Amino acid sequence: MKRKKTKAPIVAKWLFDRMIRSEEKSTIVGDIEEFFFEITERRGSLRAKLWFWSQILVSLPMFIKNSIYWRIVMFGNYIKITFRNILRHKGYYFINVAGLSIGIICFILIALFIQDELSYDRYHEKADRIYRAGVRAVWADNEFHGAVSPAPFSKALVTEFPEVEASTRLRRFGFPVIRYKEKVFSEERWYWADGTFFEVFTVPFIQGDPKTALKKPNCVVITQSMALKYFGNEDPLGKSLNADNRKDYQITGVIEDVPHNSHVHYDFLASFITIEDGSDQNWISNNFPTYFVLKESVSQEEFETKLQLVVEKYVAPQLETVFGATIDELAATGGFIKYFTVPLTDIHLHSHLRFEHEPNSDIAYVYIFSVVAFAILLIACVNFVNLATARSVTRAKEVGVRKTVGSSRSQLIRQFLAETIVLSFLAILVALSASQFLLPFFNSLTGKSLSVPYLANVYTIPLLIGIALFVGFLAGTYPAFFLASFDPVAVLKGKSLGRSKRSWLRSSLVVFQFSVSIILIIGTLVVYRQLNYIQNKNLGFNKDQVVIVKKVDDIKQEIRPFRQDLLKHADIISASNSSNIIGDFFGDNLYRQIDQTRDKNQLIWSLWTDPDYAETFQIKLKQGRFFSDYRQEGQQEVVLNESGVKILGYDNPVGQKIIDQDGNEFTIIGVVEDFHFESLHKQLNPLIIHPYSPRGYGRYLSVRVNAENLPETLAFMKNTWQKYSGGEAFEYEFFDDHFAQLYSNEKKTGKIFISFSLLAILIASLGLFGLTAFITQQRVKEIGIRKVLGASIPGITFLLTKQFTKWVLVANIIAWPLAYFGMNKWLQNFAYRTNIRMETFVLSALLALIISLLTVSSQSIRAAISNPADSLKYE
Amino acid sequence: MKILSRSDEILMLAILRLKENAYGVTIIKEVQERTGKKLTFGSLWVSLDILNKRGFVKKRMADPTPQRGGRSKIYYSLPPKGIRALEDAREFQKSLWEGVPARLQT
Repeated sequence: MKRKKTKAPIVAKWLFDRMIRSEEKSTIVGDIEEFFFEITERRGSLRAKLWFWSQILVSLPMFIKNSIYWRIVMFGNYIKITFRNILRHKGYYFINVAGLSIGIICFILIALFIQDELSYDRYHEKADRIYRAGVRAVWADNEFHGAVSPAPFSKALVTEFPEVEASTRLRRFGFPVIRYKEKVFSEERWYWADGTFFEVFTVPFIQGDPKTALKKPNCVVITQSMALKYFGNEDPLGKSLNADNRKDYQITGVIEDVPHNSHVHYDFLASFITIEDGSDQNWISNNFPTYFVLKESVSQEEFETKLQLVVEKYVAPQLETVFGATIDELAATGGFIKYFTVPLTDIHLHSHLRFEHEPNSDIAYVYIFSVVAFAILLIACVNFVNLATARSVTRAKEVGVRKTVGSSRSQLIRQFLAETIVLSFLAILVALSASQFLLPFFNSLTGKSLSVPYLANVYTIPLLIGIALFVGFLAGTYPAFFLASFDPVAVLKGKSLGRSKRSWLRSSLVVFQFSVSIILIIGTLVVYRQLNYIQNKNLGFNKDQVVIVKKVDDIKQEIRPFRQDLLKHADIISASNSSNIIGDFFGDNLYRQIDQTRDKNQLIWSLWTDPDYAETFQIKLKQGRFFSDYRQEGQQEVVLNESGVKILGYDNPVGQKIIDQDGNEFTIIGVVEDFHFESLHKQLNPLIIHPYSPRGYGRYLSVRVNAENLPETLAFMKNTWQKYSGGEAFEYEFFDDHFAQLYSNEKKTGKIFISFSLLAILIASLGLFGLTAFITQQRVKEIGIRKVLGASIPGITFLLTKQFTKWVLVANIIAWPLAYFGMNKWLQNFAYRTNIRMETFVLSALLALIISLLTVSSQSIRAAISNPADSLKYE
Repeated sequence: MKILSRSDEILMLAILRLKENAYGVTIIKEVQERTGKKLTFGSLWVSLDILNKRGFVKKRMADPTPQRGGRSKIYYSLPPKGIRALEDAREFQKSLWEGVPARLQT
C-alpha cells in the first residue's frame, strides 16, 4: 500500500472502465475519484479501496443484465434479418446450407469412424499397461517377424521380471466341430487361453467366476451369443460341449460378446492347460501370442531392454540344436533374435506382423480420412465464403444504409458473423438429422456399428456446438470483414465495387475446391484400379466355381467315400481335401538340402493335402508330377513351388532330397508354378506341399463344380453330406467369396473413398453453381450489350465458361502431384500392385471438367439466350 | 400525470437544495446527510439518467478543472418541469394526509 499518494485500485478502475459505455465516462470517473480521495483523507486508503470495490460489485449484476439484454436485442435483430434474407433468397441460402450440411455430415461420419478406430482395445481396465510380446529373428536370408513368442515365454515373464503383474497366452489352434445334442457347427473362433487371462483383460462375466473359469483342464468359457446358439433358453453353466467327437468341455463361464472394437474376437475360450500343461520348454518355436500387464510406472522401453535377458538365458542354449550355431556365431553373420513389445492399444492401427489374430487396420487410414474430413469441411466453408462475397453486391446497399444510420464496423461484422453462425447451426441440425438416416448405410459400408453418442459421450454436444461455431467463424470471417468495410457513400451512390482483388480470391478458392475434388477422384480411381488388379491378377490358380465344404474332418475317414460319392455327379469336376484354404494362415517349418549343415535352414510355408489339390485349383505343374496317391509307408514325397526351389538352391530339384529340422527326409517329386496362397499384401512365399497319409484328413473339402445347375448341384452335395454326417448342417462357402474377404478392408476403403469424393464434388459443384449464377447476374447488362452488338449465343456461352475452365485446369496441376504422392504411399501396402498411370490423371481431369462445365453451362446458356431487351430496359 | 417516486423526490430535492453545486459527489453526500441512505454511484447515475430522460433534471457539462485531473463535472439542475413535478408531489402528499388527525393512535 502506498502511503502518500493513494491511487484508486487499478483492477477496479479497469473493470469500471469496461462497464461504462457513456460519453460522460470521464465525468463519472472524476466524481468517483473525488469521493475516493475524500474517503482516503478521512478514513485511510484501505477503507477507500474497499469502498471503491463495493461501488463496483454492487452495480455489477445490473450491468451484466443490461449488457446481455442489449446484446440479445441486437442478436434478435440479426437473426430476424437473417431469416428475412433466407426467405427472400431461398435458392442462394439453400445452396449454402445444403453445401455446409453435406460438409458437416461427412465430417460427423468420418469423425465417428476415426473415433471408433482409435477406440480399439481401450475398454480394458489396464489397457494402457497391457502389452503383447513379439519376436524378430534374422538369420541368413530369412527373417521372422511375428506377433508370437515361445510356449514357456508367458510363465517366464512372471517369474523372471518383478515388473510383470500378470501374463497370459491367447492362441487359436485348430478349428473344432462343436456339438451339443443335435446341434453341430464348425467353429472358427475357438481360442485357448491361460487361467490368468482375466487378470490381464477385462471381460464382463454374466455367469461363472473369472478367477477359476480357465484354471482346470477341459473347461471353456463361451460368449452370450454362443450360449444362445447352443443352449437357447437352457442354463449353459456346468453343461458340456463336445469338440470333434473327442473331448467334452465343461462350461465354466458365460461372458459378454467381444466388442467390435477389439483386435481379436473369440466365441470360445478354452483352458490352455487342456492341451499344454506348462511342460513345453521349446524356446525355438514361436507359436504363442502372449499378453502381459506391466506394473504402474514401468516404462515400455526399459522393460524391452531387460527382456533380452530371456534370449541369453533360455533361447541361446536351445539355439544350437536348431541352427547348429551358437548365438554368437549367429551374431557374427548378422543374425539375431529379439523380443519386443507392442502396447495393446497400438495393435489395431500399428501392428502388421505375421500371425496377427485378425487383419488389422492401419493408422494411415485414420490420417487419410482425417484429411478428407477436414478437406470436405473446408470445401463447404469455401463455398460459403465464395457465395457470400459474390453476393456482396446485393448486400452492399444494406451495409450502406446501416452505416449511415449509425452502425459501427464492429457491429456490422458481428451481424454478418451472427448470420453465418445461424446458418451453420441450421446446417448442423440438417446434418444431424440426415446422419440418422445415413448411418445405417455408412455402417454397412464400414462394417461397424456407429451411432452419434448424443448422451453417451459428454463431449458430443459441446463438440457439435463447437463445430457449428468453428464453421461459422471460418466461413463467416472474411465475408463479414469484407462486407463491413464498404464505404457507404460509394455503395449508396451505386458505384461498382473493386472487382480485381475479390475475383482473385474467389478464383483461388474455386481452384482449391477443385484441387481437393480432383485428388479425391484420383484416389478413388487408384483404389479401384488396385482392387481390379487384385481381382484379375493371375494368381496361379482358378478361384472361380469352387465350393468349400467345411468341417468335413467331422466325418474323418468317411471323407474319402464322401468325396467319391460327390464325384459321381455330372456337374462336379473334382474335389480335394486340405488343411488350409488359400488365403488363410499357413504354418511354416525349416528345411534344407540333405547334405547341408543346419545353418542353411530355410523357412518354408507348408500345406497338407490330397493328390487332387492341383487339379481342383488348377495349379499348373512346372516340373515332375503331383502326388499320384496318398503317402505310402516309408515314402516321403513332397512338391515345392518355384520360390521354394529357389530358396533351397536347386537347379534341378526333381528327385532331390531335403530334410527338416527334426531330421525327417523328403524327396521332391515335382514343382508347381508359384501361386498366391496368401493375400497380395504379402510377398509370395516358398511353399512345400505334403500329401496326407491314407488315414490323414483336413477340415476343408474344395469342390470344383460346373457353373450350370448350381442349385441342383448344391442340393446334391447337401444330401450326400447329410447321408455321411447323420443329418448335420451342411456348411459351405463359395471360394471366391471367401477369397474376397482378404481384401475387404480395401473394398471398404474404396467404397468410403468413392462416397466422400462424390460428396466433395457435389459440394464443389453446388458452390460453383451458385457462383456462376451470381457472376452471370452481375454481367447481365454486359451480356445484353454484347448481344445487341451482335455476339452469338455460343460466343457468349464460351465467354462465360472460359474462366471456370481455366480454374479447373489450374486445379488439376495442383492436384496431380499431391494425388500421385498420396496414392503411391497407399499402394506400398501391397506387395503386388498396379502402377499409377497417366490415364488416371487425364480421366480425373476430364471428369472434373465435365462436371464443372455442366454446372456452369446451365447458367451461362440461360444468360446467353436471354433477351437483351429485358436486361437493358432500365438503361 | 405520473407521480414521482420517493427516491426520485429525494434526489430532486437534494439537487434543489444544492442549487449551483449539485454534482455527483455533493448529491450523494446531501442524500446521506438528510436520509442516512448511502447511495452507490451506480444507482445514482442510473436514476439521474432516467430523470434526465423524463425531463425532470437538466444536465450541464462544466469545464474541466485541474483538481479533478482534467475531468469535467456534470452539474445537475431542475428545469421548470422538474420544479412543477416536485410541487405536484408536495400537493399530492398534502392531499393524502388531509383530514387525518395529527395523532394517529387513539
